[in-house]
Amino acid sequence: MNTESQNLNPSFETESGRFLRGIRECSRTVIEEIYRKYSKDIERMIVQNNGTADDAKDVFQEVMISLYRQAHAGLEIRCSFYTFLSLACKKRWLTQLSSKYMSKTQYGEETLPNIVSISEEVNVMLREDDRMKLMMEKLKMMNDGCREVIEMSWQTDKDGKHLGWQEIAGILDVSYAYIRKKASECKSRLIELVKKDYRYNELING
Amino acid sequence: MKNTILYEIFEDVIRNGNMDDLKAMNLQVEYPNWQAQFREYADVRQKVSLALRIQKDERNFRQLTDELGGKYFSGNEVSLSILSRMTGSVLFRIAAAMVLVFSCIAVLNFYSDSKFSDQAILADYPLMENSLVRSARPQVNGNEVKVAFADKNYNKVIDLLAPHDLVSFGKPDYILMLGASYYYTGDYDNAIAQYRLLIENNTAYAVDGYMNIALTYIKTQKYQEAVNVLNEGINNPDVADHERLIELKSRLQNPLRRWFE
Repeated sequence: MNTESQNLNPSFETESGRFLRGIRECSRTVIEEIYRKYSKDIERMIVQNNGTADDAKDVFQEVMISLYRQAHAGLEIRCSFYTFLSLACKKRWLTQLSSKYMSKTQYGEETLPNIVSISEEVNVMLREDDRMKLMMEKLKMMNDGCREVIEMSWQTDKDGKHLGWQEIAGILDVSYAYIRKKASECKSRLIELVKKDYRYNELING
Repeated sequence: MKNTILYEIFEDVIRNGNMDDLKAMNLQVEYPNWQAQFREYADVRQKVSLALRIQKDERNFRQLTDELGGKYFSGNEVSLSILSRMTGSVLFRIAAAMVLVFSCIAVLNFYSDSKFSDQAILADYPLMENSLVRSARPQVNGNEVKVAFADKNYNKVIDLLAPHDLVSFGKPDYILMLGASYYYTGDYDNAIAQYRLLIENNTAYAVDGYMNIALTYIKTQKYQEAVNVLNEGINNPDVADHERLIELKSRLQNPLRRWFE
């Protein structure tokens, strides 16, 4: 049986797939199951590595939100959900520790022996999420006019449909030519802002 | 400006969903790096578009995880371990503090005991008596009292001296010997009475009288009486050598004395 047919039939769904679907659909039952099953392990891991229960709660939530976003972007988890989740939490906690207490070159297996290599799958997921956050951060920094135009031209409905240019021009009460030009200028500015940020290259190069 | 035109093209192609159009446009002539630029544009567009699409639901998701985080990260289990670590740490500190305190107490106790205890005081301040008699024992026939005293035969000394009026006898040494004999036989009241006689009748020996009365009170653990008699001696203008009385009094009143008894 191929992967597609497995995905269509819930009985063949892996636990990782079920959890990811529950996260994507914001299913309270599934999300609570994840918290119930894994919160203590994550809390213990972070507390044993210079963190507190509050740190663990924040890291766990941050990773859950990353999973939520990336589940919408088509994320697939090929290992066990717990492995993926715990690695993502470790990675997030390492990043926080490095920014909190030490330079990036200082942390390592010597200081955090429990934290070993982070799988590339987790790295990709977190990197993608960080890039998304960076772009949204830059979008919020733009003036209201630009932000509005970008949001209207890029936002889609649940079926992935865009607003047409004529429609946008009508809503904003401007000409078609103006809105086309304005949209491209604003997007150019947004991409420029993103690329200028020091984090961009890190996120691109991993 | 150049990019804005390119981005318009990119946007149209993405909206139409036909990427082959881009290849047909021969963009490399004017935009030699157009493929990398397209990747950048598409990446930003895809991520922003997704973020915008899910942002409302993401708020609900965040609320839900806030609630569940509060429920499942109450810190119960781990805070127990933190609590135990903290408790351990606190207990360790308390234990260390107690060791320190007890060490200080032991040192103070030792110092106090060796310096301010009754035994230490009584050892440092021997009873005033005729020590010559004891150190150079006279011939048996020479002086029966002195021989008895030298032999620590205190009952015999008492038998020999008590019936006599020693004041009129004019021998303060004998009064000291009789007082000491009472003292060593445990008859402290009579010892004190003898020393009183000495104070009242012989100013040269008054300081020895006061000292011996004070030491007798210390022996019987009447410390306030000891201090009182020392004060009496210190304030007595006929007593020349106050220093010994003052020294004994200050030692008796030292706060470390019997602090831990």
